[in-house]
Amino acid sequence: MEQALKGIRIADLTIITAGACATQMLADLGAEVIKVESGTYPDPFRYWQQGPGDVADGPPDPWNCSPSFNMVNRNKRGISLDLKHPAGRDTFLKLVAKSDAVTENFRQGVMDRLGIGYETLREANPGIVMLSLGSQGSGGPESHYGSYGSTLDALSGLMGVTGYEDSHPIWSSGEVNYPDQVASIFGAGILLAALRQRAKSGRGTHIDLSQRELITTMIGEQVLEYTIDGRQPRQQGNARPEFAPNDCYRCAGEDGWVAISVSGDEEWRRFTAAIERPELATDERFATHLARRGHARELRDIIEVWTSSRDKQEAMEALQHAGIRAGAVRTGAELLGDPHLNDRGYYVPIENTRAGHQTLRLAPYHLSETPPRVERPAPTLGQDTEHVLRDLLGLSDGEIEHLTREGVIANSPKGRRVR
Amino acid sequence: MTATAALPLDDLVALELGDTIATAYAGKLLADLGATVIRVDALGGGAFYRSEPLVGRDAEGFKVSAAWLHLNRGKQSITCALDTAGGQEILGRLFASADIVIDGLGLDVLSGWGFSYAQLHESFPRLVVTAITPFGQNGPYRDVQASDLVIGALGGLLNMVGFPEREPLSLGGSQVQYAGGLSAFTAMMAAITYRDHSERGQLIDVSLMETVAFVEWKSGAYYEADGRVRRRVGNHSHWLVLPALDGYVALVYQDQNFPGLQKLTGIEELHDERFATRPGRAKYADEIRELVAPWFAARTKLDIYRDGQSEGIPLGFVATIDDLLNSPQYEARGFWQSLDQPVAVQARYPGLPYHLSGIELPSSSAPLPGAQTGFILRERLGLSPEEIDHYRAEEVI
Repeated sequence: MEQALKGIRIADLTIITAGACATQMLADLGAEVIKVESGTYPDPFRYWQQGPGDVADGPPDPWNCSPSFNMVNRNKRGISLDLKHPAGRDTFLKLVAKSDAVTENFRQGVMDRLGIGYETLREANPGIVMLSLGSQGSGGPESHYGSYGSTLDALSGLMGVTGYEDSHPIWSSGEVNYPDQVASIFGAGILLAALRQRAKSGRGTHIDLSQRELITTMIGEQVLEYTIDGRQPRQQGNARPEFAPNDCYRCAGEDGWVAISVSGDEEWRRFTAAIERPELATDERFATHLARRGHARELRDIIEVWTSSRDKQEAMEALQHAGIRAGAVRTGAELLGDPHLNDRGYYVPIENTRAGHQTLRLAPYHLSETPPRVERPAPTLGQDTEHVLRDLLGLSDGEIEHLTREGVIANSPKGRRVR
Repeated sequence: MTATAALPLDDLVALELGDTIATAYAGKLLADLGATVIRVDALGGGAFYRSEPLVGRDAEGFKVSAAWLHLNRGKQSITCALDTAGGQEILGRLFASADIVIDGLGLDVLSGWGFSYAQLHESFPRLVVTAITPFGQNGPYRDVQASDLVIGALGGLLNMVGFPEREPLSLGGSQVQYAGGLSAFTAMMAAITYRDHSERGQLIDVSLMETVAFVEWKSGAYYEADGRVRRRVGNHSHWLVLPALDGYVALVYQDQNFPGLQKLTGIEELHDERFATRPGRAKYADEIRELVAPWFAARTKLDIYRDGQSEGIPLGFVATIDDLLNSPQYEARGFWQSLDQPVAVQARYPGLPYHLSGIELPSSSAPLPGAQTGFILRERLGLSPEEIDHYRAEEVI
């Protein structure tokens, strides 16, 4: 099978999730992504969640063993270049000259301080497309502010409409970081759109993306409720206008829950039969959509009598059998064994170079002619430096040796103890 | 492709079928970049035009779907009874004129009208067909009955949001749909990139469940690494939601931010040696929360936001829509757009979350249902006035 993005080369400076996952998606579709890290500042994701056990028992090179890093950097080439060193910067600009795009999600101002802002990149390559996947974009008084993914849940307005009806606002939090994830999906697509523009016009462009603004556009209905009608949108738990009930109910088993959505009175009748309470179909507290919305709390108690006596999978199956929308609340751990995802090839096993076996999630889409695929594990730090410098950039062995002596290239992080 | 083309997608025509937010958002992302996006709507506008939340008033005095106004900006709408033979004739002509189809009706429905993917691919080998469904085109859950809540549950996201002692929670609005729209957009960009040099179209199968699982990938990856099942943690970690004088603040203190938190708040007890290490701070997270809470409760969210950021703490405040309308950051980037819609409202709309240097992107309002019916039939499909009259008489359009 062919690959959609074959022939596109990306000089990739992205780190952590939002940026690194965007270029991973492009690499899975066939783009040649060359990740550039420095020994003094490797991608911080290399130090996240390095597996069980005390650090002292860990591998000698933990920076090559982070499951988070290895997830979102597979299929990339990895080179190490100290961009703060003039020779490192020059070498990077040689790579830019041979690339179609440069991607980055540093804090605002870092690219300019490194002397590789968009104008400089354009001098090296007039057609270059640059993607800056910023927290708040460039320009404006808060552009240099820091964020941790979910803090943008708060700043974008999403968090103000997320929460139980009677709780403080709630965010997607540290182990989801929703804004990072969706920004990475969008970042991949908008870069391809800009590359298409370049193919048509011959001109490159700088994509200046604000993750905060992206999330605000994803609550557009709630925004318009306020800007058009002056109605302040509220936290509404799991309630949504088209269903009643629409909520999660406690099941047997540790933290077991089943999500149930009922639309219309006919479905309600089927639901009451399925939970063996047919009399509720005509009970005036619950007989209509509006009545059910008004008695959600009483309804919870009644429904949980039925759900709490079976586990979430049984509850889901019984309700689905009766034609009711129902789904078990799955953990990430359970998803790894999910029959549907596995049947569709969503998970791909890989042997990492240093970290052994890992299960990679593939993509949120299937393309019939050019499917995304995993061809190789994430690079160890500096793994492809020599290859890229010599074969792609045409540096001599002497020049590469010089860069090594100067500390511009390094295969282990500087200032980190190597055991 | 023309050398004079000014916008990334202005040579592309996309056909949008169905009434879901995911398809409409995917279409909007194309329209934002200059594509001609044609919605095929039911006569009178259909379910999407009347979906809640409703806002404003149209010319007939009815409230209009906020999703319609937001997501259909820059699109054209043709109203057409697709369940009639005439409607299906028109649909066939629309397929012939399109580069992309974004389908939210279901490929089975199209197949029943004689437009299976195999047939479309044979007739129009350059066509990119994007189907967005809860679970995708195959697999054991293919026909499971779904809502966004059910998809969020099965995809693993609900498990991570909310309080540990309470029911799992959806993110606000329609995030399952929006995230699915993003997946479709990026897949379409890849398919169009491929088509630009191969002249070959293809089928894109977007599963909302896979999109949710993709967004919520970390808990599975971490579990595989250390065997610990991730669940909702609520307010019991270094990720804290704290009341301020006039709202809420979202605070994260990683190792490198803790000295900043000590300095920002000036709370002496934060220097206790129990809090000196990461494991210590994790163990006593609830105590740290109790210590800092009064300091936050005595200050405004904006003061905390600015002062915290200047101490290098990447905290955020929980913005209301009003806060966003008055945000100096949004103002400086020109995020808000004032638009006159063809309904009796004049309001500010979220603009584009990105700028492309040297390229001015279009900004226009959503059409009324069917606003371009005549234009599309006449100019795009080349129908004669007699043919159009015929369809009108048959109540197809």
